[in-house]
Amino acid sequence: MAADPSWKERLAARTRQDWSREIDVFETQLELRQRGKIEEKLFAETRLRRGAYGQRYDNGHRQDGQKAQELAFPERPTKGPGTVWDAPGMMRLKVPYGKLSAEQLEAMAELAEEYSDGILHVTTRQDVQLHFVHIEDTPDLMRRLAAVGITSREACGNSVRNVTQCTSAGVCSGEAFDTTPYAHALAFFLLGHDDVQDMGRKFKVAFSGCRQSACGLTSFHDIGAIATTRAVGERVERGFQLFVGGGLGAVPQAAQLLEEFTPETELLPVSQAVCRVFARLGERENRQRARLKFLVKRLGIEEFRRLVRDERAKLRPDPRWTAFLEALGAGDERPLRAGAPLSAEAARAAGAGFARWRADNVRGQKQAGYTTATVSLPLGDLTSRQARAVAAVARLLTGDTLRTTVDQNLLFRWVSEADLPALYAALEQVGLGDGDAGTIADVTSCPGTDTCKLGISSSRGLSAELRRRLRVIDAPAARELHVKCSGCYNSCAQHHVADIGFLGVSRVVNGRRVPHFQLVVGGQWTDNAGAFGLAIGAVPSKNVPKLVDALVARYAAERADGDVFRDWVQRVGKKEIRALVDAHAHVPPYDVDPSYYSDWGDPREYTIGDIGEGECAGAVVSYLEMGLAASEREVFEAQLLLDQGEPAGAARRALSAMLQAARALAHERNPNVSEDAAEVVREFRVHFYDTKLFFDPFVGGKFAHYLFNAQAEPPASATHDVAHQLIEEAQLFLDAAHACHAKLVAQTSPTAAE
Amino acid sequence: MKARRIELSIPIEAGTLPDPEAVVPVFHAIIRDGSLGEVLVDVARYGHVKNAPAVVLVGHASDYVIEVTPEGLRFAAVRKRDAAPDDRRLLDVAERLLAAAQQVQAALPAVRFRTDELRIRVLDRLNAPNTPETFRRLSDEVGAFARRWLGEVTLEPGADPSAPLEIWIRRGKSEPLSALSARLARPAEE
Ligand code: SF4
Repeated sequence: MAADPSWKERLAARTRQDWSREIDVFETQLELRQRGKIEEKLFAETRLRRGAYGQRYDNGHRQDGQKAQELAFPERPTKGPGTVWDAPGMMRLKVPYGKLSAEQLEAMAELAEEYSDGILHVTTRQDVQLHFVHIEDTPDLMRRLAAVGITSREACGNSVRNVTQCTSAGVCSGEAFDTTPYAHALAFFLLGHDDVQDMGRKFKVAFSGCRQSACGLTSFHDIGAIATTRAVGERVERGFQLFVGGGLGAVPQAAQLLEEFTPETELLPVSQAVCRVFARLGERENRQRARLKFLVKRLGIEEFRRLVRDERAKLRPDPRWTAFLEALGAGDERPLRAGAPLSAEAARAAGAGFARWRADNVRGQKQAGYTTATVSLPLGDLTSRQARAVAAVARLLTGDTLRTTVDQNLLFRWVSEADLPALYAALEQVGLGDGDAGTIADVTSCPGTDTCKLGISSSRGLSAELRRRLRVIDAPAARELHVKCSGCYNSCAQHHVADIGFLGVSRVVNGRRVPHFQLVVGGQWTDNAGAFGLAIGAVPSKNVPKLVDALVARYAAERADGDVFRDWVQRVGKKEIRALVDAHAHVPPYDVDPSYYSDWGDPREYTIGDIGEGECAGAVVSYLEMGLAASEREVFEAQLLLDQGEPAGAARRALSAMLQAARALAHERNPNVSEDAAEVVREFRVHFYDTKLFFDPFVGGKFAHYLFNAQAEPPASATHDVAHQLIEEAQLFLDAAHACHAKLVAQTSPTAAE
Repeated sequence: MKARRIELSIPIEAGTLPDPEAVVPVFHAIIRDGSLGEVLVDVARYGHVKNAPAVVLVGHASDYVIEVTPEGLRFAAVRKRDAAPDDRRLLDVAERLLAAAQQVQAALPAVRFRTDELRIRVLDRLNAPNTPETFRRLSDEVGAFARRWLGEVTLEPGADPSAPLEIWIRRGKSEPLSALSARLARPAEE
């Protein structure tokens, strides 16, 4: 009898041998784990490095709004500490700089159908994610990807994540030069490189073709490379302005300049040296302080630069550093069809829908007769059928020039203008003809509570609602705004650099949990994410759309000529914005409107029990709530002081806000606690840190350390950046204090327990 | 039938489920109450995507889907890993579909399912590539099963060669789910 067919055999001839071997090794590790021969922690890191990530409920528990229940998976080994073998997970497919061929997109479409739920999700790192994938299906899934030149290696875990770059690289008139071959070379040079296998945390790289535009977002990357040139005699030399140590996360930090001009020949070795310094000196014990940004901050950029230069000098020469330069241009994309203009008559004939789509989604390339065209994907999602349709039209009109974008869309490049109506018609036929790309309705969202284990509020639910409502906005200035929603402080939707950003938090109101979002304003998307916004205050999730309406209406009515949203925010002042927030902060009692106590798109009563264990202690005391409210006010006042150009005062106020919240908590355990800062910190430490009552389920005591550090070294003469950071930290400390409050409430009011 | 995943779906009568999202609380309740007797994990919502699996009840061995198609809504059961042995795959997926559909109908009495047009999708391109040869091969087994269960039927392949293999089962009448359930337990020829 013939043996069953297998993907391994069928695809062997089409797959790189080293990739094949890696997948075989992973499959063996999977089997060994099933037999209990590999330790769970080790297997967890192994699978993460292969792109297989956990999903909510992979601990085998689920909150149904009324109670926690165990999911009765068959008993098997775990996939890592705290996970269940059978719980389906997420698979992240790495798409270096977003470039996809038609064949690759088709392969992903097939995988989504056969191993996932028929949906492909484009992420803010230009990756594609599939959800609800069973771990035992992952080796074949990887083989099918590898056969079309895609690897999921190092898509998750402590590794170099997907390298991103402007989607217009090579076709943008503003770029210094096309960074594509450099992004490609660096991505594949670092993939699996020995020097990046022992890093304490993930590492992100981005390329940009110019300084002024938003596309590359280099400011919040571990390495940000901006293309630049210099004259050397008669010759123009290519190189990069190299930044290091940027990051978003809970407290964002702008990358700092490592080198004003890194010649193209030095891009790979200098990046390698940065990785080596990070691997050697980066934090190991405390995961929450392990990103490169903390190392750069701790050492100072001067010392970090010195270390990188020393490391660079020690590197053994590698021919790959420059080999790719000899073939520059060989991989350049070529159009499939001759560029031809679109006649006014043909444009008219294509209809009003086409006109709107063209105005929003189509941009000229530097090559005459060609355009790029964005495929707007709601929340980054598309079906397998839609993906196949996109691939089919790419084969017909543009060839293998697709890109995934950081704002979770797809992009066609090299579209002959004359072909735009045909492209639009093909997209429209499969429900992908929406305009709105890059507008206020093109809301970016992280997975949030839908699938992410760390999610606090439903960022996708909120984003879907906002998207639906914001599509009707037609004031041009308002349409240009960027809205981004993260499900928690980790900032995966990049809310810090949006005009209007939101991050999920939860609050206890009337003895029950209520999903909320913090409003973040003042971020800047352009200039490669040139500025980070600050949180203003939280409103219940269900009031967010009304708050956005109010913000947008005021901006449209009050903006001066030439104002961008950030200018307007600065002009009206955060006090005014805070007043808008306050006007939307009210939560009606449960019996008046229970809808506030559920999140968007989820009829279950809201809970955060899915993200951590509830602990019981103490009793609800209004003194505590008053203390937290006072702390909120102080955080806000700190922002105002910062806006007024008083960073030192702002920093002091931020510290005071943390002390206020800490004292309110400490008072629960020791009503005699004085206002003396040292005593407050001591009491807080004993009752809430040492007992872990203040701990976040995922980052442990991180937020308490914000207080300890600030108190240990009070910011006497803080700079703007230091004060900015302290305010961010105070806000996170306060949110943690609210979460701790909820734990205390849980004892007396079970409905708020989770 | 040898396949890692098989999906069976039936249409939802036009106008009887104006908003697919209405099923979301029903799916959550099914998980909470364990009423389908299997491990179900989560409810995924994709109502923002056009012509998509709008609401998915995700499980360990099955998914249940409200699918929006250009022709209207369909309700599908997908049997995946750890499901029945090869010779019981069709029976197994049919049982799951009917059980879940009946629970949806009990919770939302206005919803009506049509049983005159069933669609099987074989979500396994390794064992069942979408070719005329596979269609012919599987038609024998599917046809025999469908005739035993549903009486006179015609089988047709799906129209899209790039999609997974589809077998459309058409019959002249639509009967209540309960009738199909009863006959599944006691096939027509017995
Ligand atoms: S921001 Fe938070 S909720 Fe959203 S994906 Fe990141 S960790 Fe998850």
